[in-house]
Amino acid sequence: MRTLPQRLLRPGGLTAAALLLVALTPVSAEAATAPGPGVGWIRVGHLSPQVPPVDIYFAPFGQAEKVVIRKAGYGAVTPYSSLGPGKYTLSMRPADAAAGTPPALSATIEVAERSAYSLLVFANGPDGTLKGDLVTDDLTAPGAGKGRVRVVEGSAAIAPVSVEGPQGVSLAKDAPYGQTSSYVDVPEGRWPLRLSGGSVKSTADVDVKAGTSTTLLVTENAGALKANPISDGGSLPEPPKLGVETGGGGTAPSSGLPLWPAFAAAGLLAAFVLGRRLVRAR
Amino acid sequence: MRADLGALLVAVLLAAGCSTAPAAVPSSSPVPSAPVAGRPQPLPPAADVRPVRLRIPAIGVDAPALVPLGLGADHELQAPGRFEDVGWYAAGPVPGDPGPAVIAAHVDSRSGPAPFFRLRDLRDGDQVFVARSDGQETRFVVDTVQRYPKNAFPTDAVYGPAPGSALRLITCGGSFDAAKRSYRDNIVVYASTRWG
Repeated sequence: MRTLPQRLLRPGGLTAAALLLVALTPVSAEAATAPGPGVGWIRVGHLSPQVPPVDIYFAPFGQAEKVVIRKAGYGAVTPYSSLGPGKYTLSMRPADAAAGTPPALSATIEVAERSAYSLLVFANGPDGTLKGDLVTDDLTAPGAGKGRVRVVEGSAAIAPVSVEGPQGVSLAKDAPYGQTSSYVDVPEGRWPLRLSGGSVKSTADVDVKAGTSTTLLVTENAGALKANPISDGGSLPEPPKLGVETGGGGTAPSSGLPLWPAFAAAGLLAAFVLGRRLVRAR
Repeated sequence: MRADLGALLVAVLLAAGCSTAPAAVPSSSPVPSAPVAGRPQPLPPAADVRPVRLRIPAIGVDAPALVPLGLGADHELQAPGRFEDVGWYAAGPVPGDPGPAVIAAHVDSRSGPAPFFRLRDLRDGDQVFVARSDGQETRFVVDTVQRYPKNAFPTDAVYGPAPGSALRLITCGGSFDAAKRSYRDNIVVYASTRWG
């Protein structure tokens, strides 16, 4: 019973599961000159219903991988991690497997500055192997009073899935397993959504806050559809303008008045030294 | 145990592979589903959560309380009223919530150093901890430290949307304009969450 799986996990079988991912980032004219943190961001989601929890390994391309997340189960999405632009490798192994175990998934990711990505792992590769889908997340602010929502269809047994709301809002229409829908801007509020996949139907109330982006993870659980909203990010409702006046000048070299503490300290020191000398001289 | 997990993984992969085939549900003629009734309801009022402590071990900052900051007449972020206070922009996200939370403090008073005196010394990888009134503490990691002239402050980069939970720490820097009693630059620390 064990020989077959073990053979499949050898490097030969691995090549089918391994996947090379190249991030396609939109070219932006201002990107090169605009100031900012100079990093990109990535997070990883486990959306393979039958696959037990995994450990996630990560490293800059060509360097030894280290475990960064332990025991990520079906439906789990890690927090974002910031990282410098460049190439990285990411692997998944069954939770608690030795680091030398051939990975169930191995991906190479190109991260661009000021871009955020979700590496969503589905069991829709050849022969049901794991396959990573690198999607670019939204980093722009939605219109005033609105929030942005999209759907990741992570239910394999119940598929395709549609997600609809009142007022004609359609977030996903017959989305196949593994699909990430485009963002839809909707007014802020608690949205009563209906999920349907064939005869399976369920509802979910999803809070959409103005200025934020949300990904709705659709998962399957014992024959039912579940919706789990996760945040992609947010913006300031009222971004300040200009800089901030956060200094009195007391430590600025060009400022005359605040030098008195330094003079006072020097005077005290001089008095102390003089005093010691006087004591010694006795 | 390990082999079992591996076996299970592959076995279920194969099983999952089968399940991706179109379901054997008799495909009925497309019946237009009824529109979803109702309307979006107003969001419930947000819980009153505040940052209560800021720790930056690399530069010896441990502020046991934070004061709320608002906007001034020119829509600029107001600094804490007292030189010794650390403030947070209360109209923005609470640190640890989605989006860029903003924390500001003075670099100095008229007579000596203030809480963010050494902010400029932070480096990529330094840790920043923010504890909140709901008990949550978020660990941020410094991405970069930048200095901008105040008359060319890049509001979009500093206050623009951010993925996940992000933090901006702001104080003054550069040379001091004694006539205006104002520093010419701002120091901005960008920080994000990071694995490991």
